[in-house]
Amino acid sequence: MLHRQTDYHLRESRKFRIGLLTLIALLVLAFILGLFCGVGFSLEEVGSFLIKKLPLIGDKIFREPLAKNIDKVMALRIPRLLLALTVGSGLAVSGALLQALFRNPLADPYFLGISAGASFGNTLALVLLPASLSLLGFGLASLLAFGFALLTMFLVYLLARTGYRLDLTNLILAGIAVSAILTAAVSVMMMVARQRLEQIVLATMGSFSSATIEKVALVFPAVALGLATAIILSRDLNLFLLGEKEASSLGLETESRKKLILGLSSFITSVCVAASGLIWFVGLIVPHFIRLIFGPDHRRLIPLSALGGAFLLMLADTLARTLFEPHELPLGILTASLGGPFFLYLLRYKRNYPFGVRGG
Amino acid sequence: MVKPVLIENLFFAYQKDYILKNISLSIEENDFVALIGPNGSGKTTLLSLLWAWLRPQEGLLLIEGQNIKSFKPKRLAQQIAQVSQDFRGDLAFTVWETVLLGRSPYQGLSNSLTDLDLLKAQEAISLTGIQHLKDRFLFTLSGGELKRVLIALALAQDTKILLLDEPTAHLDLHYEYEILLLLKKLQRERHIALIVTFHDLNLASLYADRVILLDKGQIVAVGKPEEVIRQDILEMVYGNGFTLLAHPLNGKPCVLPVFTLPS
Repeated sequence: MLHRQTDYHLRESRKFRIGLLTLIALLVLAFILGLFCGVGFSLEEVGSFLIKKLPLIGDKIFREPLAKNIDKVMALRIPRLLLALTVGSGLAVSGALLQALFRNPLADPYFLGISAGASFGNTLALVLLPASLSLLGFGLASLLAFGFALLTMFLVYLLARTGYRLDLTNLILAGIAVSAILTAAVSVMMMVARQRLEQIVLATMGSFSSATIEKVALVFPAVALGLATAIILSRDLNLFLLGEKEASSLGLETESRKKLILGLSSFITSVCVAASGLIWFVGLIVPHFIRLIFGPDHRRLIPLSALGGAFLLMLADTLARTLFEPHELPLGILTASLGGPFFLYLLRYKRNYPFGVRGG
Repeated sequence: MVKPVLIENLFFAYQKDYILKNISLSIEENDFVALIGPNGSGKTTLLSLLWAWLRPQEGLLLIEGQNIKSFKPKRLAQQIAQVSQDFRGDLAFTVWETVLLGRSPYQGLSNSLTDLDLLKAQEAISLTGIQHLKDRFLFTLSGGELKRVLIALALAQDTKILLLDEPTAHLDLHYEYEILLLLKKLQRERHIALIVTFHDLNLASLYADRVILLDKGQIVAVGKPEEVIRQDILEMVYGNGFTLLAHPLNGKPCVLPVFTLPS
């Protein structure tokens, strides 16, 4: 038979399935670890809690009363883990989208200035408005961060648009310029409101400590919708890897797709920033890591990145919460200290290879 | 009989000045047309208009009898494929994965490949003689091998028209010969209409059925190689640093640079 997939191809599909199952298993492990780690309860008590909470049959299997206060503690830890899962997968996929679109290994979710926009919104809220206002479980600062993140991206897009094609290099340059201006504005506000400096700095640092189940109920569907769209776009992303011209001659409507990918990535990132502030490196390193092992095909890269990002942030948050209990480390310290060395390794390793080469 | 390509009074400008002026030409089925002309004469721009990367300001452009503006991108990609001069894409795919991407114009929202997709991709691999490279990564290939993969990618699109921008640029004599033999084979066995830009006038003369000479965005001459590659015509465009002679094997006109020092 002539027309069949090559052995290599079949091997890669198998590898993908194994990777998928492994990551799902890791995710479950990280979830259980996250519930268990921290003061208070033994593995047994947490296990009993989980069994008892199984729908319908839980009460029948486990009849003993639960440990004291475990309900309350779990009601803090579960939303926190779910939010880490959601934001981790969102940021990783958002990074993968931009890395494909720009064919740039340095692209991450904050590549085009969305971080500066979010900081600006956040700081503005802290300086100008009372902190007690909130809506749907989000503080006003988060809402302004969300709004300004999206607004910044739109502004960058408008500034970069010349002629009837959206030039990707222009987009990067416009992003840098807008970021610089917004960052300067944030510095000015910090100078003016010196007494709230600490609050301002802390606000933009990513953390899941404000997680509530209501927040998860809003953020999870939004990110899930984004991920589903990204999965549908995965073949188009493969075409973008060939270059814009080639993609276009293969029948892809590149102009509308560029806008869609950009909008999708911005939406996912803005939702994540509103939920938990700026968390660096996840969106940069997770897609790279997956690409190194499973190759550049986005039909695999997107779902695996989502799982990988979720795993990394659940793990990082559990460490951030428990390493120096009762003090909580800023999440950024953990993602950066995990991500930084990896990224340096990547820079050295990639010198001899094109972007997206796979190993293994 | 509907012509694969028909162009009438075509004008194109990037900004203010016209890069292509009043271009009219037609391409027959099974035609091998060479586009020649000095640097900046508009060869690549003309190709880019044909696969709708650029849009003309004025004039008519019909592909298989239908106005190019009325094609959906995927439909157009089923009629016309192109191989650009320098590939700047990612090199992390394998040859087989790359060639399969050539089936994109036939795929809907679902990501699944049909038997026909696999068959056409395999045909393209066989035709271009890259069966042995199928599982290699693009970054491990030489320039000539990569060029053949990119031609296979275009062939997998299963089109009647194939555009190539300087397919032999930067290739040594051996690969140059291989690529041109392949193009001839595609024309003869697959009845594909080929529109190819050439920097090297000798290759255009030897392999093309018709030659179109462009200069400053206008067509200067069209015809069989011996009707266009003439001393008087070429001197108008290229000046006078060359002389013509007949190829010893088939008598086709060939261009040889001359050696004269300023006195």
